[in-house]
Amino acid sequence: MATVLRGTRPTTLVGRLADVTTSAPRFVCFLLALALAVPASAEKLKSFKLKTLDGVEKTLPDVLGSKATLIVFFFPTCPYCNAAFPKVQKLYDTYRAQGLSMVWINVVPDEQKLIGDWRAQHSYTVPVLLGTRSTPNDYRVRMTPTHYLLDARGEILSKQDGFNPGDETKLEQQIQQALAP
Amino acid sequence: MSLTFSVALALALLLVSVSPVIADVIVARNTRHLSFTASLTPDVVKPGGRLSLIVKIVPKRRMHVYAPGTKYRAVTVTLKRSAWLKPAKTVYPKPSIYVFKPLQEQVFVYSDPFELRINAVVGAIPPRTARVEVTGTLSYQACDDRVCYLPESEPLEWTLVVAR
Repeated sequence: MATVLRGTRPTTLVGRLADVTTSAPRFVCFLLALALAVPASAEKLKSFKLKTLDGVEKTLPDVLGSKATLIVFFFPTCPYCNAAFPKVQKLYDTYRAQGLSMVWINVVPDEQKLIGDWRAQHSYTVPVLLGTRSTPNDYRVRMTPTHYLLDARGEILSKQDGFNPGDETKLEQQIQQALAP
Repeated sequence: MSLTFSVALALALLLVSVSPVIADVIVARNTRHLSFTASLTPDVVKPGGRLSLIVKIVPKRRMHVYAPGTKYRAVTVTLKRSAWLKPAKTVYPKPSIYVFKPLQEQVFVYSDPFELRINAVVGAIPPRTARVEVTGTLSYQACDDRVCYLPESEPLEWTLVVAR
């Protein structure tokens, strides 16, 4: 269920502009070519101001990595999150030194009290932020886990909903691509 | 609207409003993950009498919700406290076992239609009260074979006719 949102970036307009005539079909083609030639601006993830488990406020710019950031919306008793996170933690351990930042955002405030023990029990080290009641709506989170992979400017490179065995491979490939020079 | 139909509708509304017997199903709702109805039996309650509040739930295709006894959020019915109603614990049907493949884990779930029942004793109801309301919440968390949806809460409401 992965959706790649990166914009299309064609090369040049010159060739297309050269051949435009006043005939209707060609004019339509010209308009289409023009539409394709304009780089689609990638969507930026809406910023946030959320607290850590220690009560420190963090914004999106605070957590952005030098090359890429993986933001995962979750809650501690979500079965698929529990299946995914050992593998996601591994990705963090592997790619952190290469410029990957990661943060997990809890979307069920009444499970906030479970997070400390849950992290300790699984030895998770990925930073956690505490979402509010509006967080799911703000980030179009209808299911968990929902992963957003962002570039260094906070633009969305991909969004992946849910988790099934093998999804970590796709996620890893996307991360490698984002970290590539 | 024809005159005959208007008269019939007015008669039906009149009958419903004066009859001590109210419709069995009081709430029927459809969510993304399941549909449910809330009903009660008997329709008419007396102080000191007993009643059952029933929520019938039909999970949608490939969906399941969790039963008590797992580490996940079980489906629950919570009633708002009321001075005149003494509810017992919710009666759950026998769940089925679902194998959650990603963790190779067996969990108790409901994926077929099922019913939650709360038996209650009616306490003292203020005099000259013809109807009383019971409100509550149905809470659940649904998953399918790929994702888990966010926990949901749906309001429940029952209107009880009081017999004297």
